[in-house]
Amino acid sequence: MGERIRDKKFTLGIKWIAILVGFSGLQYGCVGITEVDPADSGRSAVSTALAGSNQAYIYPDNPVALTGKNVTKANFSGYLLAQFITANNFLETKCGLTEYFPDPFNNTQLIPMSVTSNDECLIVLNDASTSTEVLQSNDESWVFTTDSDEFYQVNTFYHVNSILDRYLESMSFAHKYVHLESNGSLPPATKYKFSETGSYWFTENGLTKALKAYSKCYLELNAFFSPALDTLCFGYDDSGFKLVQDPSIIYHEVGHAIVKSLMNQRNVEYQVDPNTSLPAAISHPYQSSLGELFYDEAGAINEGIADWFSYYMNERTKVGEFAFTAIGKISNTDLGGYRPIAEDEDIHASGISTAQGERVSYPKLLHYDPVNPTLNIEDVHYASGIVSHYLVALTKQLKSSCSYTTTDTDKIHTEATNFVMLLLSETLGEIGDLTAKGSDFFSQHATGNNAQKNVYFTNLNKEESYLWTQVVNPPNFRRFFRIFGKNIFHHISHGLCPEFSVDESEQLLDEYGLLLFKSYEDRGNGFNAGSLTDEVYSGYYASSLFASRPLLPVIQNSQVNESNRRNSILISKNFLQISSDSVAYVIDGQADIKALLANLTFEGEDVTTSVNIAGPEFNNNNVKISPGEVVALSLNLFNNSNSAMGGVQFLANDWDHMKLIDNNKLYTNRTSNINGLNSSDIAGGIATHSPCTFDNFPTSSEGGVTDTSTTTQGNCSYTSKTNAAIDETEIVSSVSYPKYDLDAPQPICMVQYNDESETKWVSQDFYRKYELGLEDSDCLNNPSMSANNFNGNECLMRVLPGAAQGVLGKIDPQSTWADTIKGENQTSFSFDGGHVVLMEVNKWIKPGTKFNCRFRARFSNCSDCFDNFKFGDAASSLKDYSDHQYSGNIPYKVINLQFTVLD
Amino acid sequence: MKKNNKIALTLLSICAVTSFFLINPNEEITKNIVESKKAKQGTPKLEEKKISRAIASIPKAVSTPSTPKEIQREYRGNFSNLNDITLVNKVDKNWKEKYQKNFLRMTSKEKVKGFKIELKKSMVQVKNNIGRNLEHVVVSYIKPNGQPFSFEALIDSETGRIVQTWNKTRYEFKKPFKIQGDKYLYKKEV
Repeated sequence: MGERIRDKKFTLGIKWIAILVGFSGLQYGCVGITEVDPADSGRSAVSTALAGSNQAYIYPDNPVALTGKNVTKANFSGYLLAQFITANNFLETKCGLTEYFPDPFNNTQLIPMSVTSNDECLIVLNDASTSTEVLQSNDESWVFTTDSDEFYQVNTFYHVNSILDRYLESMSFAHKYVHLESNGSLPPATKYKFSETGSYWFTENGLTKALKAYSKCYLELNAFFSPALDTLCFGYDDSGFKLVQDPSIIYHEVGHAIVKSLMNQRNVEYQVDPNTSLPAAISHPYQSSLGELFYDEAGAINEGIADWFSYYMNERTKVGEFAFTAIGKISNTDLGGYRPIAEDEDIHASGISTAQGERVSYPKLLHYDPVNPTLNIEDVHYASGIVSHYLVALTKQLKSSCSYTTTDTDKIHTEATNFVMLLLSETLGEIGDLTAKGSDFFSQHATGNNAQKNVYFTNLNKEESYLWTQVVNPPNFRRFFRIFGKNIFHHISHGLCPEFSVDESEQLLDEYGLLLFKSYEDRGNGFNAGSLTDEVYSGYYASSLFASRPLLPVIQNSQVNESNRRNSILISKNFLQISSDSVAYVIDGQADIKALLANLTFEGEDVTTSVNIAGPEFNNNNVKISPGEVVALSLNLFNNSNSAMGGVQFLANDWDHMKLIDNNKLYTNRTSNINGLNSSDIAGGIATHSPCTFDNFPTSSEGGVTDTSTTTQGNCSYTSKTNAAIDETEIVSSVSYPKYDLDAPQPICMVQYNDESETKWVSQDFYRKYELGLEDSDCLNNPSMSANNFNGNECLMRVLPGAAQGVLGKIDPQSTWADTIKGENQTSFSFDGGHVVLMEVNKWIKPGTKFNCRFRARFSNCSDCFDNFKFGDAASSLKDYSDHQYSGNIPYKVINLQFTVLD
Repeated sequence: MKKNNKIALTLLSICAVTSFFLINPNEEITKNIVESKKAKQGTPKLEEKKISRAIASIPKAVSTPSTPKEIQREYRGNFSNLNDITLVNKVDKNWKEKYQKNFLRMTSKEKVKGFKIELKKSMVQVKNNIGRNLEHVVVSYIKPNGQPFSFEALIDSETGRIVQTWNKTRYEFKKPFKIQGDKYLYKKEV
């Protein structure tokens, strides 16, 4: 059975390999091949054909689409078209969009303004070698010998530039509509002045950054997008197969780059630079990603959108026809010949169709491989099918429902896809916003209103936004489609296309199992971190960014019509339980942990262990948690409901679950603070925390604390509104005295402490101090590593920050994740770095010490993880949990994992 | 009178500057050469201190895009006045080596090729007037499996430790390291 699992993975890999590498075979099948040694700096033969026109001969599509046959080698003879490439001397270009503003003399009119990048936005190169130079035209011609490296560079440029041009047209449309033509019922997430920030494309502090596309990357059967270097690499192999021979693959990969741009459009603000006191575009230090390293729903959404970009360009519902076909031939594997993005493609399994109830739906078909429907694979490329099929179905419905001023089907495709691009821009702009504003309506820089400095409508606040977007409340199917649905509601059904009603939108979402929300949250769910008060959009009624374009928000959240929810099943979090006897997987094999640490480090994660206090050298492979070990933990979660759960996430990051015993004693327990108190340089005391009681654990007799006031800071019933942890602001005579915020998030593990009369759960700091007598330097993440952020509450058991959450794609009814993956036919399964959290164990812990670690878990189709609205409740109470509540327990099922440290 | 004074003062200044260049033309050139040489040969302590502590009064890369290689320590975050900022860490000139050493420690015996840390920006991240020296870098290398990989990171300028990483390379086909699961099942303690 393990073989079958490997086969599945192999199949998936081969598909992409084929996509990326399979084109090399084309070289041999083509007429007039010119073999070009990559090391050879010389150009292939050039022609004076098309001289003076700046044109080249390009293949408009992949060989399968062009010939209508399942060819496995490319031969573009007879299919090449003369097309304009660029008037530049080099294979690079600037880009820009048309941005509209109200005419100051007649604000019913709009004035177009061309915004051009201040540098190249696209450069195409043969490969990533530092000696590779940008290709030059010859006598204003881009014609090179067919199948030469230069030929593929030019074709890559043509297709990348084509989708970039289309994207920028769409962004111009989206910007104009949401800011200047909509009914103003939603504050737009799309950046309000691209002319100031340049963030319609990659930018750093307002300076354009180029996307570099390498048409011939030295990769074996693969392709990648590097958001750090802004590069696209398209692989090839020795058989002549090149990924760039399939333009649908180019569109898919550029789609990832566009997603990055949309996610980060808001992460540059035009403001006064405090360094120079001059106005400037300033980028947030971090950038958002849609999807992390391993399987997650954000990654599946990204892949689904990337596939939709292929449809956006060629209107076909097959992706990678040539690549999949060629690779299937090369690997002698049935890969189905393409990836479908509509249910009426032949490749689909029986039972999949556009008929009601037969769509590719969530979460049932998260693991669905059309070619091997009985297999059960957790991979973003399979889960993405739900997203791509939905987006294509939506586009088709917009084409058929809406009124257009033309009957030209190509123009209707352009207009309908512009609508979808508007929805994507609005949705991804809000999700990826690290300024945490959600819209420029709430930006003190855009509005010039400093009172709005602390107003945040998404991702908690500016300091914690990266943690929120990537770990605590990352984009999942629920979050993405709730925001996407909100934008359909306001911009399509009540705007561009009233013919596509809200009911129709909800019914389509439901067909895909994506009607996972009860409210559109369109009154806004914000917070003022200065006054610690809630904010709604209506507080900004009639404010405006452009003359006569006031914000006219709704007062009450719009509710989903429950009669439209037929396939989207919501399940209470109480059905997610820890398995009754086998509570977790504890991976403590030395070789496995060493390899896992190495692999996560190679992927850029911070899994640095505490030298000499814990490390894999202590691991003993006895499936117990032993002193000094680094262990990978995966909760053995059980779905006790009768429906599948999707996007199960368990968190091990710090959260607000401990209470200070004395609110006047805030200083962290470290030698420098004790010295400061003793010398009276500072006043107060060393902090001690007790665990709050959740779900009756721990009871007061076990050391738990309860209270009732939800408005008293420091209380267990009060959830941190800022997630502020350690405050470094107290500095006396150049010495820093760090102290906790009243509601500081704390590490998840506590310890059982036995004194003469009772047994209690206490903080790690208390235990290390009073039971073990450990110095700061004996702690995990001790001050030599953590400096001012040293926290004695992770002295004994510490979650490594780069592995603080696990994601389990789907859990079938009455099943665990492991059983779901194994299915009916498998007997084994495996973990990767995305399924586990990593913890290090202090070597000084005495065997026999008992710990309780409080994980928090949730899933995407959860009825009470995102709001507590119950049918029959007053409509006014219909709202999602506020962002700050994700610092606490309420949105989650708290899972207590208890274990004893043993040798 | 005031206007005349201004004109006189301006003329006097122009004369003085012109005279200086006429009298000492070679001295200025020599000075430039010396500074240039110094920079090439390296005066790390002086340069480090200058760059890391100076309150930026010179326009930054934002407004001088033509000189992106001149690293300025940019101040970012919430603060009212640059003079009010207190730094909680120092700049260790070996921060890069410290980071690299730790990276290689965690990757054990496996070898990476072409390990490169490109400094994008030296900055001071300010929160409530407390500043931390950080280095914004792009880390790139070829993994042992032959795949190029890159990410961005903020690194503490004193300890060389990662503060945050992001923008990791997105491969279409990933073959992550796998651990067989069944053998690690942990039973509930009785």
